[in-house]
Amino acid sequence: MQNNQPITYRMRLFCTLLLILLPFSKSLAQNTFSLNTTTGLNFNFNTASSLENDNVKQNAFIVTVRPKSSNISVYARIYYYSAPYGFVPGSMNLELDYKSVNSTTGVSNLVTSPFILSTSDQRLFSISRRTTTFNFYYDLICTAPGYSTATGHYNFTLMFTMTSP
Amino acid sequence: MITFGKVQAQSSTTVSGTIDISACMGLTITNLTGVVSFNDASDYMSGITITNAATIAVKSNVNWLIDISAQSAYFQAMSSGASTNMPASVLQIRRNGTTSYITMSTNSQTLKSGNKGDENTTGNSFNTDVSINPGFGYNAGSYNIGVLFTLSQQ
Repeated sequence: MQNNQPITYRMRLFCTLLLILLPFSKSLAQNTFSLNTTTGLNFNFNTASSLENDNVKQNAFIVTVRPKSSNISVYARIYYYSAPYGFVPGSMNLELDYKSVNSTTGVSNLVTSPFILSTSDQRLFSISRRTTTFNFYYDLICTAPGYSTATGHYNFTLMFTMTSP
Repeated sequence: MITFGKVQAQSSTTVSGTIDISACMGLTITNLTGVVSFNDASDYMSGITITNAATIAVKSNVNWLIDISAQSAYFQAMSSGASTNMPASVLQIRRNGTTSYITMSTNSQTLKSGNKGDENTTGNSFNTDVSINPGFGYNAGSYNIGVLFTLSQQ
């Protein structure tokens, strides 16, 4: 009997891990999510008038999702940025502006107004489970830096995340 | 009893970009006066001072300075009989609110410096005074001279 105990324990551990991982692998395998960029994401401000106007990359992103196995939500945030010395956060912002989607059936929580990206996840939309492939188009806006924002070179990385419950 | 927490599946992707902001400046000069006329002897005796002759507005995303210089060493004679040897130094310019005039020459001289910001930033809009004192050494006539304002980064 004593020799069987480690085997029983291992089996229990295996079953536990299986139960934990199964739903995870299932949803990842069947929900699809991709991000395409249609333009370069490089903004240049090199004239006085350019400093006074927002710079818009039209239809910069196409977020494609197919929530086949479960409800999903998609979020966006600034994952990383670097700025020159003297930059004051908030003096210039990156914004996402929803433009269109091929179908709104099952779509909820869709943020249709431009919003400032931050280092925290902000939900773009949710979709209930279905087999439709959705293409969401977004503009990326770099707001007018004005005359107070530090000159120099900035880098940024945006992260888009799809989650399913 | 074994219980399981809710497992949330997640998939992420990233994209990168850049922002480049160059040093950018803009200068607006609004001339508040027209032709300056010397009509009587007192004008020649002590010259003519035009207070607030022009308004200058600067917008810049870097700290700036404005240099001024005459575009030629002598005034250009614009009418028959006018002298061709009236020097640029007859013309003097200062920032309104200051006491010392800058005597014009073809050499650049700093009129004012300021901090980055638009025209509403303190110090980025100001008026200039002009003094013209030719004395009695030059013929009557019409004269012209160009003044160059150069805005640059400090």
